[in-house]
Amino acid sequence: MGIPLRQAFAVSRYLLKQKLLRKERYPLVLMLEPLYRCNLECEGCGKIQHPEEILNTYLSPEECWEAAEECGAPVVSIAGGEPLIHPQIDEIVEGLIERKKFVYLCTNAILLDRWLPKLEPSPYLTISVHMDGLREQHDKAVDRDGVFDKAVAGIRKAKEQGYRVSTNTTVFNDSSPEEMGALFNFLMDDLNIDGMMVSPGYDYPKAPNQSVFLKRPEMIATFQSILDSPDRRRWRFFHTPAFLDFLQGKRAMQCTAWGNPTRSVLGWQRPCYLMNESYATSFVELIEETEWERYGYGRDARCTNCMAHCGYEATAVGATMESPLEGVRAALGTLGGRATS
Amino acid sequence: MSLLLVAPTAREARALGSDCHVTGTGEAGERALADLLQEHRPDTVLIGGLCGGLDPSLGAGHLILAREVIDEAGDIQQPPAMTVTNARRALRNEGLRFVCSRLVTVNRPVATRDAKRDLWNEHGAAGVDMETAAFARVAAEHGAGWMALRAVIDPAATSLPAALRNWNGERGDLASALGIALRPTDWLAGGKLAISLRSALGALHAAAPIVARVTRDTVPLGDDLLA
Repeated sequence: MGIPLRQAFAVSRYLLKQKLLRKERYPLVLMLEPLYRCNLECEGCGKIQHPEEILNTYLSPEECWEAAEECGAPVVSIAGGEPLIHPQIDEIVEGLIERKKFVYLCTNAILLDRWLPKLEPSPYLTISVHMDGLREQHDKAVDRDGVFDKAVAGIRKAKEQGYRVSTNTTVFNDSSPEEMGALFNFLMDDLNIDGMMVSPGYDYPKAPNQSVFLKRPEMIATFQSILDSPDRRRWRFFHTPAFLDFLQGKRAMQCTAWGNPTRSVLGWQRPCYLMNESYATSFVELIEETEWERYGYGRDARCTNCMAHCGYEATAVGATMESPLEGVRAALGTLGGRATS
Repeated sequence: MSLLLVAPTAREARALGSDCHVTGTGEAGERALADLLQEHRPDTVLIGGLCGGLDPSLGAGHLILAREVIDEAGDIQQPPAMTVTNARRALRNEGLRFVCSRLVTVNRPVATRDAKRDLWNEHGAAGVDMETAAFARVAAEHGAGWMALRAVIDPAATSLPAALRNWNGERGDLASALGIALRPTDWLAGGKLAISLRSALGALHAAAPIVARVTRDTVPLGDDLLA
């Protein structure tokens, strides 16, 4: 899967502890949304349609650290909105790293240049840059010209300064497998990033453009085409091989919504990162009082076309832990650095 | 509300309760159900029994309360939403392991892991059986509503013993057991299936009275009142 050994060991130790404690539901990645405000209006985004008073609200650094401690997940993904708009994002990151959390700072990289001097490179910090395609495709997806070039410049600078950099690519119905392949080659070979994440877009009812989303059978066919590429061996994904199998329809999985709990300015979001039905006031309340059986593929119509990593990567990690063969595949990916399948 | 409780086989009917009627399977089962509907004229039919697991998070003995059923032609039928909601709450209050999800009905056993995976990816149904969609249609033709409760016997990650891969409901338990006994390669899978069977029948036995009570007690909102 290509993640660093330090992170792989820490996550494995955490998972083993949960197994020994016989915990039925536990978090793997905290999705922290310290604000919803963004400097882009991407056509497939369902996060930025909140009223102005909510868009003007931020979580304080203390609230972010408290959420991380309350939840206990070893990995924290800071999303949003655009986290680099938050005036204290450097403090938030620093405090999470002090707490030994592996932080993925998700950004469109427009403001990355300004923040790099205030963020120390660390094995606990990965800057995860949003990249939906090559120049034309990416700028169309984010609905603004020039963003691709800014993101590329930001990635180059961050790599030069010793940061770990990954990318996060959302696949839509106009993402051709050839273009995705060309993007992954560019990211690996030209930008020399540390790893990539990829996920099909979720059909947010509030997204500005509803026509961009793939249906589940199309998603499977698209990912089969993308991952069938002869270049596949050169691509390093921050995913388990089991999750990549799932995207290609080779493996059946159900969503593990509690694996990636979401803390936003509105509270602990129920039931998942993509659907906001209600908010719990504490993590314990979220885990214990949510009727989890109601959600998932087949159970809720809103989950029909969801194959997103925030729901299924935790399932894949669980399957990897339970199968010695999957464990070996994932370990080979970590040690070898490239995806195995 | 009057209720008719039915199951395709005698073994399933025994687990569901003494007032459960055995229909048989296939077209004969549909005819038997039609006769029962003519005779009893119930408001609702509760279809109970075992099923194959497609949702990979479900183990043997996990219950599926149908929120809808889809057949291979893609036709979808839904039981009364209010009755499903009330049954879901009642099962949850009792602490039973269940999901409220979709069932898919096919006309042959889905015997292998790969076939189950493909059906899951295609339909998103938690379980697969060979009767529910047809029985629901027969109930509707007779002016009755329907509910369905199934218990998983073979989870998604398992394949059926080779001796059972052409099972059509006509062969009895003894013949099935003999078929497995004559194939040493089936012994392990057969043994696991026997354990799962016990668990699944136990789950049905615990849940059926609850769903039956809720179905009897729930008067669905009439379409004329909602108009």
